[in-house]
Amino acid sequence: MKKICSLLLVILVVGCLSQQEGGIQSIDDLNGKTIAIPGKATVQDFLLQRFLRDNNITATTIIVGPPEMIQTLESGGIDGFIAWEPYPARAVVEGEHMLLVTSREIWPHHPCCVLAVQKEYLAENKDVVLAVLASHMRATAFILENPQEAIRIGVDFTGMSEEVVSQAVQTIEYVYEPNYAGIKDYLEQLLEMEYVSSDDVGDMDTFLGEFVNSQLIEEAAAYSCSNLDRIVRMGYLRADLHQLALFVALDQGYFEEFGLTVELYVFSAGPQEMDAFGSQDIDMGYLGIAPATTKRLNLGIPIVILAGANNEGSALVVS
Amino acid sequence: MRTHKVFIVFVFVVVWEVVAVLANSRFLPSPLHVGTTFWNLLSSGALFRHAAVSLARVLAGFLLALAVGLPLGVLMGWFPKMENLSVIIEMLRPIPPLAWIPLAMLWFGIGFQSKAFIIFIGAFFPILSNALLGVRETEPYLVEAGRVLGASDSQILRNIILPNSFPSILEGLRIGLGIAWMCLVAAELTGLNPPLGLGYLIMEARDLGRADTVMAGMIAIGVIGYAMNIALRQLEKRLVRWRP
Repeated sequence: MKKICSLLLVILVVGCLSQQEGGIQSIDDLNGKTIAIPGKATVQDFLLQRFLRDNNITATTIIVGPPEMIQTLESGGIDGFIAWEPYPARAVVEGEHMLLVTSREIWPHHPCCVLAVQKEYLAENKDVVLAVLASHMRATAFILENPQEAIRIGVDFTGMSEEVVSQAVQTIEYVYEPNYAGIKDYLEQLLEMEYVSSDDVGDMDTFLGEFVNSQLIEEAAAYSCSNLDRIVRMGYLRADLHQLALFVALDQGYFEEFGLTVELYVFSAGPQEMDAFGSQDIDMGYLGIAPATTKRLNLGIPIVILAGANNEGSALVVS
Repeated sequence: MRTHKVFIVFVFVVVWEVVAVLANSRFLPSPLHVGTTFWNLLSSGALFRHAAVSLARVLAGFLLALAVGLPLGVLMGWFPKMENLSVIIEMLRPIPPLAWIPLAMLWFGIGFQSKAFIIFIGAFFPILSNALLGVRETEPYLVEAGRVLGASDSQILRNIILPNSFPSILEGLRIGLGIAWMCLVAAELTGLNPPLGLGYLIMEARDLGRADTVMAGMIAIGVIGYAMNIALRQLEKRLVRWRP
């Protein structure tokens, strides 16, 4: 009995000691620290790896769901986190944590979230896809023209305060053109990181030519229809302000004008949403380009990128 | 017997291979592919590191459950008044250990303690209720015989009730350890520090879309769970040899 008790004590003590401490003031202080990412092969994982490499820093990365990141930071389980907005803005506004670096500083105008479609669905339901794309473009224009109104919708969507949302949207570039060059840059680095294999990619331009469809967005600009009477199953990420266009389009009734009903499916990170694409539980979805590319290649999940949703808009926060 | 078991495993692998070849999908890697991945993980030492961390978590949670659940179960079986505690126990028991994850993360963060806590919750109830059952179901004539011979309460507890309820207690340990192992993987799926553990290995591979690594991790869990079960059964055989 004594032996068991002392063994138990030792295990508990070792477990407690394995958690690190220490404040971070500058980029160099990140060395040896633990940084949370929303998932492996997410845009944030990608940006963090790039940032660490550029600054010659080694840090441990661990996976934590974005909704749990702030509390984990405060309980000392991690030293910092990189996440999509509005989580960094919330940590800064409400928790008075320090914003160490924005993704704009890591890679200016980097593509981030995109709008993707199941390949088969695109072939069979081009009218629905065009209607979604047209709504997406209109909603993006709305965000740029009516920032105040967009912030109100963002508050409803994320359930966070107006102060947090208005600070967060400032770091996000809302776009709709798919950023071919940026996506290629991602692919090159994913290969370098060995997240994907060049055997699966084959010729890079051939692969990207199939993976990214830049024509449909032009076609959608001229698309009009009012009586589609269809349902589309749409994935998105929890409280991700990058995907605000989806909620603006819902709020403003853009989909309804096409006679389209959008059924929403929420995911906690892009890799999970890709699994839903794989099991054909969603037809279209907003998600990060990094998980989309990684699982398109590694699992052969047939999706096509139709439009961008945003550039930039992530940040690394430390306590 | 042993050759039968080996044959069954062989048939299983062959069926898997055939299905994988027929499906020809990246969603279902073939045993050969998974075996290669398993071997690579094993020879690089990565699998061992993940398994060692997972085992330490299981052991901590399990021993804690043992330290709390066993005495409590015996006391509840021994003192009729203590048995009223079962109102609380019976209400807490149906709550799946995984439902405790959000609270565990709030209370203990994402480190070692929160995993140990989830495992503790999982292993605690079977250990407790089997100890309780063992004590309560001790034949009254054994206790009475002890009393007639002038044994004190503590002597009866130590020399009659505890040995007599040993099989039931060990059964509780075995079930508890099995549940602990299951809870571990789910607990590790929620993010942890340091980034090690078989559950974490699976989560990372899932994010990357590597079904072969997911399966290699699952196999490691299965093998270790199987080995632990056998070890406990051996222990049971040795400790309760007198049992018919």
